[in-house]
Amino acid sequence: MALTLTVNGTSHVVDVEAESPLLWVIRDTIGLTGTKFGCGIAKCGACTVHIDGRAAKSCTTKVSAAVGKSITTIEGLSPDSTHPLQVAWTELDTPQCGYCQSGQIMAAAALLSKRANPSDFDIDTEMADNICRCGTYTKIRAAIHRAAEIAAQ
Amino acid sequence: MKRILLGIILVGIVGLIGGLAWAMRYPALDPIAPIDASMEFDSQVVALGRDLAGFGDCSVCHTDPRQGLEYAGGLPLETPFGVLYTTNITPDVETGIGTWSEEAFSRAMREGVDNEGQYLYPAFPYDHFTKITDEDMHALYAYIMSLEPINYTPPENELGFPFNIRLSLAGWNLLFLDTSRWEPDPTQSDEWNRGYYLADGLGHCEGCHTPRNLMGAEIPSKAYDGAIVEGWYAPALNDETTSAVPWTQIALVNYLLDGWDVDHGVSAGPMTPIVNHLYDLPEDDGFAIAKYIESLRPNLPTEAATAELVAFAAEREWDPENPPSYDDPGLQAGVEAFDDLCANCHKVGGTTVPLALTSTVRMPEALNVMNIIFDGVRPPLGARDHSMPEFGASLTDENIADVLRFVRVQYTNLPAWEHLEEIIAEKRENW
Repeated sequence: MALTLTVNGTSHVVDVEAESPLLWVIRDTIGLTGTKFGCGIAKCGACTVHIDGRAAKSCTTKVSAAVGKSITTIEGLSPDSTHPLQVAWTELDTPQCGYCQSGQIMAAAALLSKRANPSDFDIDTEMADNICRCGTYTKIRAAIHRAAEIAAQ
Repeated sequence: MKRILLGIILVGIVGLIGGLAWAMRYPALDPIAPIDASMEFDSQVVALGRDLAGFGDCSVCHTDPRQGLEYAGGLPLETPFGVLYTTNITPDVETGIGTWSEEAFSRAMREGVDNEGQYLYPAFPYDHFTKITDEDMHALYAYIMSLEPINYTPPENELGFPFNIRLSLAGWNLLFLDTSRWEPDPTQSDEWNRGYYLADGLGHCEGCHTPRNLMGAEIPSKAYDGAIVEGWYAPALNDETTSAVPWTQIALVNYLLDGWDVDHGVSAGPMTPIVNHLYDLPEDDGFAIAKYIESLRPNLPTEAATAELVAFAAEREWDPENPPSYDDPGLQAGVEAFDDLCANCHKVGGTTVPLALTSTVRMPEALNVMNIIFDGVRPPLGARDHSMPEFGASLTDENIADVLRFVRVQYTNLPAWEHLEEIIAEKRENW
């Protein structure tokens, strides 16, 4: 089935089943591999992307539900890695193994678009569905605060 | 005849002047010089005030989460009369309440009038705060005056005529404001009375859980009947409740202090900050509030009726080996959407509360389940592991309606939810 998806501002015509998880279409069909597979049941957050600006777990989103919407992946967060979160992440050496981090950053970006200056509590609750096996949570928290600071400058 | 007419007109004019004079009876109170709160107030009083202010949820309304300036106001409150923006209550001299004396603060809290003598809108629950004791009021003032001043002017209210005329609130207060002090009920225990004081006064539980009349005042005869507030249904806490298992004091303590109870589910939506703040109150106060809330429902179902609902809940839990199937294509679409997303966790042997027992699924309104599907559950501090991801961007509006219809039929024997398409469209528009 030919579907048209808009990913990071670019239109892609993909020939996939309407039921296919968006994650696999993004990774395998379109070839953007920054978005990761973790649990497959929307519990770990590694596959977080934005659909019309809202965070979504792409592993449990049917590709048909994303047709006609604007999808943003980690590759499209900024053209040159200068999004405040990317700057803060680099500045504070936030990732350890890095596998969950694109999902973390996408969830954090959705949080910052709702709350420009989130508290520790806001961060802990809003990021609750993004799991990091290396345990970089405190660094993630610090990096989100730093990104809020950079964005406010 | 002329004389009688003249007399009537004169009486009318005198009455009008008298009424206006009465309505305008609040003088402006003298501004105070900026105070150094750390010198002025005992730190223990400030700490008590902090916990009380948390429990009263002052910051929930007086903070715009998009800006994150705590207590500086600016949160838009949609009312049937227009949009109100909450005020800056930090002790900033220019834009906050830095020049307010304790008398001015206490008058605002009890009578709904600011330091200038201007009427405040009853979206500010002074009709409840009026019950606060002098001692607690002093602690609240001490805490608020100890906050970091923030120089920020919230947007102007957007209210139509005549609601933009603050003097009209004199009439509202005359009709609906009872400024008599709180009195304990001598027939009840101390624990119950403490709970009553906290819930009815500073806690202003009724502010959400009691329906309001056309003038925006709580309807006393419908106290705790449940009401729709800010796109959520604040459930009935009295005999009108549709809860499957009765809320005991212990269940309420679990819910109010941890945010989760095994027979009812997790707290969500506007209740979340309340639970987080209750966490800071002395534990006895949590038990007291629970005691009072428990007593709002005197007529409990029989144990047999409850047991039947518990058995029904177990029987209806999703079994991955044998999922339900429906002839109705809409319901079957709901089954499939549920299978894709919800059944990963909401299933037999899962760690979630059986859906048929959750208060939200049994409520007369679909709003809360819908909101949770859109935004997920961001649980309070004490129930972190009960989070649920957001699915609003992953599902079409049709999918969400299908899931809601299926959930109501599968997990309850209660009447179907109405207006699903409308509420989903409205949610999507403002999302």
